[in-house]
Amino acid sequence: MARILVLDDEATIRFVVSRVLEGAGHEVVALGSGREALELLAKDAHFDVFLMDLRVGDMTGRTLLTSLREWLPVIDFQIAVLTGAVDTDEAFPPPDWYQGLLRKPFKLAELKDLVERLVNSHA
Amino acid sequence: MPVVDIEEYFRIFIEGVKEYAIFALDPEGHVVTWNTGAERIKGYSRGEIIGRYFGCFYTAEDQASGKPAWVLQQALRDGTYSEEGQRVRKDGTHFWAHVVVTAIRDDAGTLKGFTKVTRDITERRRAKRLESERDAVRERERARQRFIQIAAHELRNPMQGMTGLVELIRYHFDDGEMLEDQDLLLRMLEHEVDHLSLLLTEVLEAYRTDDPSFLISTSPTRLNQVLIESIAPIQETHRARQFHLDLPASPVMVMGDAARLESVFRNLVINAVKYSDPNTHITVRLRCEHDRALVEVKDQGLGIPYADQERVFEGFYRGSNLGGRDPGGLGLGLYLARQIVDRHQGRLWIESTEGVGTTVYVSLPTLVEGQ
Repeated sequence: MARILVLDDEATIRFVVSRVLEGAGHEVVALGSGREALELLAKDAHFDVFLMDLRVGDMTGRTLLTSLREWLPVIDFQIAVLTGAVDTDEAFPPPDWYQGLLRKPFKLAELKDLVERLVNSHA
Repeated sequence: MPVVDIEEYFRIFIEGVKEYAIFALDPEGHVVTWNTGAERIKGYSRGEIIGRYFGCFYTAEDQASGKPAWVLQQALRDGTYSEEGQRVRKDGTHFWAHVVVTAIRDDAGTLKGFTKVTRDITERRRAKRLESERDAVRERERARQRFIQIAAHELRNPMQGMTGLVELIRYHFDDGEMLEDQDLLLRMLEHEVDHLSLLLTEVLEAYRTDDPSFLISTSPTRLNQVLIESIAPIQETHRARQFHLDLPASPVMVMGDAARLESVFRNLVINAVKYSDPNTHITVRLRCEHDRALVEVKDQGLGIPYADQERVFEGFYRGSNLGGRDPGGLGLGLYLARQIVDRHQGRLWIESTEGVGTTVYVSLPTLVEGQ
C-alpha cells in the first residue's frame, strides 16, 4: 500500500482517481488547489506518489513545483503530471522534475499501471 | 580661399535634391521655383509648372472644397502647416504625400510667399500596411494557438470525468453487483455531460455570432425577469457568496432574445464570482435612463489592468494580472456577451480598477409602447 497525494481542481476527477486508487488499496489525499497542496506538503511530505494536474485554479504545475523545490530540501516522492494540456503549454515543469505523465482523458487501467510503476520505483 | 556664394550654393543644393519636391509659391500660390525632386515626384517639368497655381497638385475633390487655399491660410496663421494626404501627379495618378508648407516673411513681416516640401510616402505607407497585415495574421495565429491550448484543457477535463465515471460504473456492473452510490455516480456523469455541452455550445455560439449575417430573433422581453433567471442558478451553486439584486419595481421591457440575454448576464455574474474573493459583494442593478435600460454587474475583485480592458473582448483572452491562476472556461464569455449585446443595438463596456473591482455595464434600448 502506498500513500498518494492527488491534486486536481475538478471534483469529479478527484473523486474518480481517489475511488480507483483506494480500490487498489492505497491511501489517498485529494486536494483541489495548489495552495492547499503546498500547505499540506509543508507539514507532511510523507507521500510515495504525487499526481498533479498541470493547471489548477490558483497556479500552474510549474509554479507549484518551483515553489516546492525552494523549501523542500529533498523531494522523496515520485511525481506524475495528469493533464489535458498541449505539449507547448508553459504550465509544464521541466521534464526532469517529474517521473510520469498521463494525458487526459486516460483509462483507469492506465492510471493504475502508472501508479504501480511509480510506487515500485520509489520502493 | 575662394569666396563661396551661399545663396548660389543652396540653390544648386536644393535643385539637386531628388527625394523631396522642394519648391516655392508666391503669396497667391503660384509656383515660382521647382527642383529635380519636384519634377521626379509630380511629373511636371520646370517650364510647364512655373507660374501655375499649385491647386493642380490636389485631387478634384480637394480642389472643389477649396483645400489648396485653406492650406495656405493655415500656414499663414500658424507659420507652418503639415499633413499626410493624397496628391495628384501630372499624369493624373494619385500618390500619398507628406507635405510641409511654410509661410515666408521678410524682416518687416510682409508675406513673400510659401515654401513647400513634399515627400512621396506611398511606399512607406504600403510597407506599413503590409506590416500591420502581417501583425494581424500573427495575432490571429496566436489566438488560434490560445484557443487550441485552452480548448484542449477545458474539454478534456469533463471528458476525463465522464470516461472515469463510466468505467467505475461498468466495473461494478461487470462484478454483477449494484453500486451503493450508483445514483451519485450517474448524477456526477450527468453534470459532466452538461458541462461539456455548455462548452461546446459556447464554441458554436462564438462561431455563429462571428458571421455578420447572423440574426437573433427578438420578442418583447422583461429584463427584470431575465436578470432573476440568469442569477438564480449561480446563487444556488455559490450559496456562501453575497449577491445583491437591485431591480426596479416596474418591469423594464426590451426587444430581445431572452435566452441569449440570460447567457450574457449569467456570464457577467460568473466572471464576477470567478475574479473576486468569496467574502466580497457582487451587485447586479437594473435601472432606466431615458429610453435605455442600464444593467450594472459590479464586483470587488481583482480588476482588469487598463491595457487589457479592450482585449478582454477578444475570444480566448486571459487577463495579464492572473499570475498562474487559471480561471477555467474558454475565455469566450465577454466576447460572446459583447457580440450578443451588439445584436440588440446595445452597448457593453467595462470600468475597472486593479485591486478595487470591475463594473460591467450593458445598455439596451427599451421597448417603446406600440412598437
